[in-house]
Amino acid sequence: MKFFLDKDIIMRYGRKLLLDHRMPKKQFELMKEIQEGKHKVWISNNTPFAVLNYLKYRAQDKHGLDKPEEEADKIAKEYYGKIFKQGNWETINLTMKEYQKASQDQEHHWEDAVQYQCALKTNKKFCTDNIKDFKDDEEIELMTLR
Amino acid sequence: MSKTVRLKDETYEKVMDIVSTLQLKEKRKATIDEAVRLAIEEFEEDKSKKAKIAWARSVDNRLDAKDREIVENGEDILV
Repeated sequence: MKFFLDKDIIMRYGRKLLLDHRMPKKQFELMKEIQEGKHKVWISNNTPFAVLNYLKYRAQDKHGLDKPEEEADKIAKEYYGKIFKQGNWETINLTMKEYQKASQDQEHHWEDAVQYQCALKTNKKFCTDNIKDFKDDEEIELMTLR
Repeated sequence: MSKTVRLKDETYEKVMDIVSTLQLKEKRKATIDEAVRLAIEEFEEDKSKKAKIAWARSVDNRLDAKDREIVENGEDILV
């Protein structure tokens, strides 16, 4: 399958790897399939940065503030590699005009709006667990895993 | 001319820590101005780290809330 993937699903997977925190089974299985190269996955250009930051600060939280920041960096990079090294990932960039459009979006929060604009530049199949903020509309087909 | 500065207990402890660290490690006396400046820098750094960690925890809370909803609705299980 080919689809655009919501960053929250990737963050959950990162958290599971890093902290052994439980996550929804369907999302976990999808992430495993992605890593096995079974799907072509588009993500927002902002997603890798957000995931890396999330992993770093969770690692820092786990290991204590007094540890040097370099240690948290090292852990975050290791787990970032575990997520993105395998699989058929492609990032989607927005133009300034598209960011502007996202900023004016009345229906979605800012981060969701950016992802929505990115998804519009793919085959418009959007895989998310967020059924409250994203709804099927004329432009996007949701794959909810629920 | 000497001036009196009131410090919170934790700030005083931090300043004194810095003074003794400099004395032990660098074998020199720190001025109070220098120790206070270093203490403020450390506090700011801690504050910034804590803010970033708070952001990561807020991501966790958001994800956990959605996970609870998924489980409660019987839509999936957690693994």
